[in-house]
Amino acid sequence: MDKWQEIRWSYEKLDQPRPEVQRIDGIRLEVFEQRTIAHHEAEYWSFHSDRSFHIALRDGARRTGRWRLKGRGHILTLRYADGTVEVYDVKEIDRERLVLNLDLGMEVRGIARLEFARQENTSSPTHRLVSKTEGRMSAELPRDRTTLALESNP
Amino acid sequence: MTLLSVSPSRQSLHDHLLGASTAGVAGLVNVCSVMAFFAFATNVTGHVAVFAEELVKGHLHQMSIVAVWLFAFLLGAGLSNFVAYQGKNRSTTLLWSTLPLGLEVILLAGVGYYGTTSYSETLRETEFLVSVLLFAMGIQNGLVATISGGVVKTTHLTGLLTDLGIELALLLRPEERCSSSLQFKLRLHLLILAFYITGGLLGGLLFIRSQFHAFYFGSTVLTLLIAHDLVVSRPVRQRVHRLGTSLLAKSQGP
Repeated sequence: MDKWQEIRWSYEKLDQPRPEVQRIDGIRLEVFEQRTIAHHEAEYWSFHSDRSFHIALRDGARRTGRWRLKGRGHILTLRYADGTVEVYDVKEIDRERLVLNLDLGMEVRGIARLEFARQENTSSPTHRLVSKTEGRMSAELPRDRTTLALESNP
Repeated sequence: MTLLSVSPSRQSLHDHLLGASTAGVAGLVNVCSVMAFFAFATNVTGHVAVFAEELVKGHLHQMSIVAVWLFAFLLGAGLSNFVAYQGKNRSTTLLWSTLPLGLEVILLAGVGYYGTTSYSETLRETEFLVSVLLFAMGIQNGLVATISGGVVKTTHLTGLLTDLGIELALLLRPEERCSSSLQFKLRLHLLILAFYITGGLLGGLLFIRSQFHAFYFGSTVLTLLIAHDLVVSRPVRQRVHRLGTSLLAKSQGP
């Protein structure tokens, strides 16, 4: 299984002052004037070829759910087990780096930019593939494409 | 009065009714497509821009997907024009005009049915279903434009808002203000805009409530449009009239 380590959150195009940050149980709350945005302080995001994912939080907790690609492969949706849905725009993807933009919604004009670094896969060599240039995270693609998500057979 | 026949005797009311109903469907389909697939089904200009962007970035796969989407719209528009013109100057002109719309009804209902029963949200399914919707919208836009002689186009609003802006500016000129042509176009474009927005709002609400069933609403509206034309068209009316006359004659006896 391939892992992506979250290395940076940043905000772009904000029309509000920098958010006030609070931390509660591994969840970072960013308080804007009209809206509070919660996101996990995660160490690793892991995508599986059965289109499930888990996010390992720094406090040891895990969030799980299913991921899907939409549009022309440029939209990543994460649906958590509790029914919450997050929508990300896949901005960059290559062997080493994944950049996602999270739309902050209509109430807050701006973009949260998440950057990830791929962790080396040390498990089975039966890697399943996802495209570098095509931005796919599916395991349905041929082998000659650069790996984004690697999945080992159990 | 039929709305779908290619006839020089078309009146402005035909174009208004046709434009309003199909614009409502286009708005509905576009919003449902965005909510279901995160891709527009009627904004071809946007897809062309995305095509160029993906080309510049070297994302060949995404570029080819967008190219397929654009081709699907093009094919739909071309097909409906080809079929509709087969019926020109024939007694079966209405039948030829309803064929493309019938195909669109099937496609929209098919997307609704597949989305409800089989859609597992793979990227390939998503790309294919967006292609189907773009093909359907191409059919609709091509047919409506063909029938109305290019006056009515209902699936995208860039050109419409341009025309509307020009027409509103012309209203400021006293010598143009009373022009019947200007008033016709202004009414038509405002009607299309209003129904597109209404269709979009309705599509959003329906999709939130009933997911892919929302597409059935679009196909129902188009089915009613076809049914209306078949019922009020002269051959049908004539047959009904002949049947009634013969029944009356039989009942009166020799």
